[in-house]
Amino acid sequence: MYVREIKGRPAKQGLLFLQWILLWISTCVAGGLGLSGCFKQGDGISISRTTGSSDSILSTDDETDKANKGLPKSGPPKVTFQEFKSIIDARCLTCHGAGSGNGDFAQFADEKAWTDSPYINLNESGNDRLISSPIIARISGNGLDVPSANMPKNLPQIPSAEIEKIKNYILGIFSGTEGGSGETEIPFSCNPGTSPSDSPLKRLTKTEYVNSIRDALRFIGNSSIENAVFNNVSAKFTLIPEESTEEISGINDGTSQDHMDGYFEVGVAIGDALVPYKNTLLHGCASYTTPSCVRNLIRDFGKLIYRRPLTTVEIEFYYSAYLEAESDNESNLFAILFSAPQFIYHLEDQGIIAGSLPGTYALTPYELASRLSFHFWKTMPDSALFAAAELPPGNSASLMNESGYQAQVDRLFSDTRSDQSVKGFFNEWLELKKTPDVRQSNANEWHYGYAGEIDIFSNSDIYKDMISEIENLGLYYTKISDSPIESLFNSDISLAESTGLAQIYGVPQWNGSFNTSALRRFPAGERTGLLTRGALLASNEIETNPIVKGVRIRRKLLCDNLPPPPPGVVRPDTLVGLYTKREKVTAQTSDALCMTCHKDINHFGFATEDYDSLGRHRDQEQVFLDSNSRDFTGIDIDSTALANVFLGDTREVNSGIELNSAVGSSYKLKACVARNYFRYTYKRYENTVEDGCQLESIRNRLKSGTIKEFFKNIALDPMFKLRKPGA
Amino acid sequence: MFYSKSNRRHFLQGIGGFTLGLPFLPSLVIKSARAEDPLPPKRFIALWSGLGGVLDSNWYPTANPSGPESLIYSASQTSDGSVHNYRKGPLQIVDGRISNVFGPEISAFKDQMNIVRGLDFMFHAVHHKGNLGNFATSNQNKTIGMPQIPSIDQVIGKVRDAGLLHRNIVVQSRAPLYDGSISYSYEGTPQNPTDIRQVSALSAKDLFDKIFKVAPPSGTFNRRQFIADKIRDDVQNLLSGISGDARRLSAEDRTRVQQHIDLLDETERKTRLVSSCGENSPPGNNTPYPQGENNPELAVANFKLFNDVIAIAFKCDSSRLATFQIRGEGIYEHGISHSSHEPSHQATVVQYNDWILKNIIADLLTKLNVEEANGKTYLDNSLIMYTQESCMNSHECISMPCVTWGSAGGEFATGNYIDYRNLNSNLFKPIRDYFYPGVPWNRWLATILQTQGLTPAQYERPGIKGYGEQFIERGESTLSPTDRRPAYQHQLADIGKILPGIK
Repeated sequence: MYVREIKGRPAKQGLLFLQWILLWISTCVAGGLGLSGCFKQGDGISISRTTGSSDSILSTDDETDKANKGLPKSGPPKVTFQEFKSIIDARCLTCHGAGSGNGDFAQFADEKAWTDSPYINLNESGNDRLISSPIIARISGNGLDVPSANMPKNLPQIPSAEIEKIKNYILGIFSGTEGGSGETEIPFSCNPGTSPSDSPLKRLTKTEYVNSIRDALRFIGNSSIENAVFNNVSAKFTLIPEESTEEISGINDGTSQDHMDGYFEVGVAIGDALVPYKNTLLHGCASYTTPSCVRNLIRDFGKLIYRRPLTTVEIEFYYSAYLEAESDNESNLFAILFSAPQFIYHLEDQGIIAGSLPGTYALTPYELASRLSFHFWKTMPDSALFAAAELPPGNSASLMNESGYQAQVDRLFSDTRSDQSVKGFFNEWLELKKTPDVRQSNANEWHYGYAGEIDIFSNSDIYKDMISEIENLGLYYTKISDSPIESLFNSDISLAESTGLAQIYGVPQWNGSFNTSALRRFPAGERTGLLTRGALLASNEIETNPIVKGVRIRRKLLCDNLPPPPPGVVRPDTLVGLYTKREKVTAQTSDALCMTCHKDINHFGFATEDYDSLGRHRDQEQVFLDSNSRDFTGIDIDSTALANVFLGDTREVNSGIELNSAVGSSYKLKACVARNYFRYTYKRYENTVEDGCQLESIRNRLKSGTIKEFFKNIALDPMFKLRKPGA
Repeated sequence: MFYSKSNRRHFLQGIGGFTLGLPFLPSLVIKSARAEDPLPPKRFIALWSGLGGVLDSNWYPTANPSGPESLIYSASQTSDGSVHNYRKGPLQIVDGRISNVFGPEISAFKDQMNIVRGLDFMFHAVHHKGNLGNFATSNQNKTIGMPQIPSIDQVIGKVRDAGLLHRNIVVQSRAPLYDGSISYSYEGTPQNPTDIRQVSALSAKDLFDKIFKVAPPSGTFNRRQFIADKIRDDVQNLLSGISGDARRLSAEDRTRVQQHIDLLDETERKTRLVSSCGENSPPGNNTPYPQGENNPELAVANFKLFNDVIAIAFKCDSSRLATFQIRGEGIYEHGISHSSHEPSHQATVVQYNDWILKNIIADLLTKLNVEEANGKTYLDNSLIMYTQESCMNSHECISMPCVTWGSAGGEFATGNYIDYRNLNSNLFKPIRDYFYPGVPWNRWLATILQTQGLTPAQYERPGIKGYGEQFIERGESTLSPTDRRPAYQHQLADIGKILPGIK
């Protein structure tokens, strides 16, 4: 017995969607709005499915409802998200505030959070959307049978005018322009004059911290001594905890006791390591008994450590500390300097008010130099960048001069030191640290020859190479071939350096050179694009994991939120017998409640079922007769699936290659990459309202240009030179 | 995770002053720390090694426990109508050994030891670090979806030992610290625990330094304290606007800077700590075990130094909890575990276990087996547990290898072999070999928690008895086709109770 997918549904969905579009347009035009009046500025948001609420979703299978879909005769008056939120905050947070346990509205800080929440259903349009959005049902009580109607309870009711505003806001959320694939491009909403979101104080990541120590030691002026001191101290770096792998590094940057103890020990170690060379540090000055020599040392060494000149007050503080110690004065001084908060944190506390943007400061030249350097090189500024920061704006080489700034951006990006940052972005955006280590296979059957000649047991090369392959692909298409983002999804280049990964791919090993002649290519028609690479395919089981593959694409490439499984969901028993993984997953997630999310997950995984759990291309799946058997039967792979990249996407894909094309060409991908790059650059989550202009700028760059321009030119965005600390 | 703005520095200074005032006599320190409790404190150490794969015939004594059978569940209580008994009898030494794995060095501790059989994970855990209750570390968890919960050492430390200098000592031989640890931190993430009472280091010397500091005689310049004080002043200058422009700091920024100060205060306090075991000197070796190294001799040397530190910490009552992870060290690696039943591979597995027990564990037991009070040793008053990742079948966790030493201050009778398997049940064939179902591991963890002095109310999560998620494998994967509910469902009612037969 096989479970088959209902193939007829997608065709019907596509036709109804087209009907809806035509009906919507004709209604707008008839209402005197014209075609442009139908569409409002929206936001570059993605649509997620609401779950858990019995009154939330009208089934997309319900053709009757679709045919009877009510549409407004004219477009609703524009209501901004801020207007909507101010009503909610005023009327609802008394009972639904943070920690209330009644449904915490305070957690929905921005528009995306609200539109992704269970309270607004964007799967429908027009009146159906109002009926099926629980927030409307609760405040007006005229929706579906909702027990908690006529909110707020025991408080004055929301005035009808405000209810209308809430309704009009919800009606007016979705808009944009039609793309060639049927996708509607949804730009981020940009309101010029809006201050960026708050930029909290951040500490240096461990990589930045270690690199900055190494580079601050260039003050010594003797590379062999610099290396000796750095190597002496290196053993202490293990005391500093590694960054979390759960998010883009720097976002979750709490300081723990281990951090603090580690910073202290590193500082003390640096002090002790420098003492043998303390006279070298005076750079010709008389001695440590001469006050001006010590002050100058503090001034000049401190400038590198602080990444800006020290004030007189700061110099005197360290000089006093130097004198006050009863022993090891020089060592103590260096330890204290390298433990300064100005070294450990990205302190941007010197700027001036930035014009008309409330609460926003323009970075000083030194702060800008630091921001540039840490972004592109993961370390403090070098001498050239410092020099540019110190030139007056009138000088064409000045960092505060447009041409000088551009020159520094170009220099930093072109340097090989930016490779780490480029690779780091791809690593963190795609969560490559979660790549399964196939050595940790839990499949008893591995030793039954499933892996064949591929050695998956004894070394970690395959795992590491799967990660570095993606990083190198990102580097290649960003800095070397200067290609658009679509190239990542159409690429047939193999950068498999290890024997194991090359065997998985069935290609010769790559020698590490980016020269065109050295690049390996997959056989035609077998494998192209990011989604057919080992890191995004592998599981550490003998079976693939379509759900994991699908979740990653949905979350990381399309930025759709996926809630956890709702409580009380009953998972059907797994099919036992000669079934493919696709069939098993389909059966397991067939429950209606499960399908509210899994209809947006499973298909991505199914489309790449033409690759096995190591990432090898296949036409058949090896299904073992039972767990004790070495024998298997081959069942033909079915990798057809709906693309379902965006709402209403009824395209069918037949393979991982086609899925790559569908995802890579989408507006939604570009919006998602823009979000992730924002996070990578600023080490915080975006606010689609406050950061809309910057997000749109990043997105447009990716849409219209190359990855190189996208990566490099974020530094040219006005917001890059600003900081809003918050209240 | 931010701390309150109360002046921890003043509070901690008070603690330090009190400590400084004590004479350098360990026995007095211990007594004064627990002046209201005449009994010695209970301690717990969990040792763990990865993989598993030791055949039962090598791990357990040849004969079943020689004592009587006692009832756990009657026929009307079990799903298949079988009577579930357990058996308990004294350990025997035959030709100098308790079993093929427990050789002379360990057999010397026979009277303080228990071998426990029939403790089962209720699900197919495969690779995991869940022996202390955080089953979510199982790589099956991506389909099961269990939440991360603190390991029992963290729970004990948080609930019982909150007042101690260091609640938990985590010993690992490899960087990064806490990565994949069996000890799951109570606060923060495993990789970034914000719990200031947990301590770990990659070298025994660093670990000693973290736990103990020797204050110089009064009047002597304490350089490290001076540095810490000046760093604090430096940070305070930032907060007050003397350095930088405090107006550019938001309230959240200021909170963060204040947290930095609070953490600094703790660092500074450690610079002033008095070793309450003044006669003990730190281990000389300060070299962390090299990353990627597989050197059994070096590993043993390192672990013995860690044993020194743990023993000192226990004797000085700086901590009462430690977790300890041991890796293959080139003797036994992952590839072998998949075919550990093959004779040559099994010989390697036995060799590896023998290496752990006689070199590392026997050394720890020896160092703890010195009198504490009233004729009882630190070992007697502790519970040392050694378990592994898998049972005799790699990736499976039924009848987990579990051996203990110490009585937890009289809570356990010792010198016994206890077998909780239901030998009357025909239910079990998870993968290849037949297993008799035993009792849930969750109940074993509850037993440890209660014998360490906690009440169920202090550790049970709402609606969940015992400790650990109560997920029972339903036979949904080809890797684990057996529905285990008949084996364990009826045991859920008692899963929070202390196991019978431990006394």
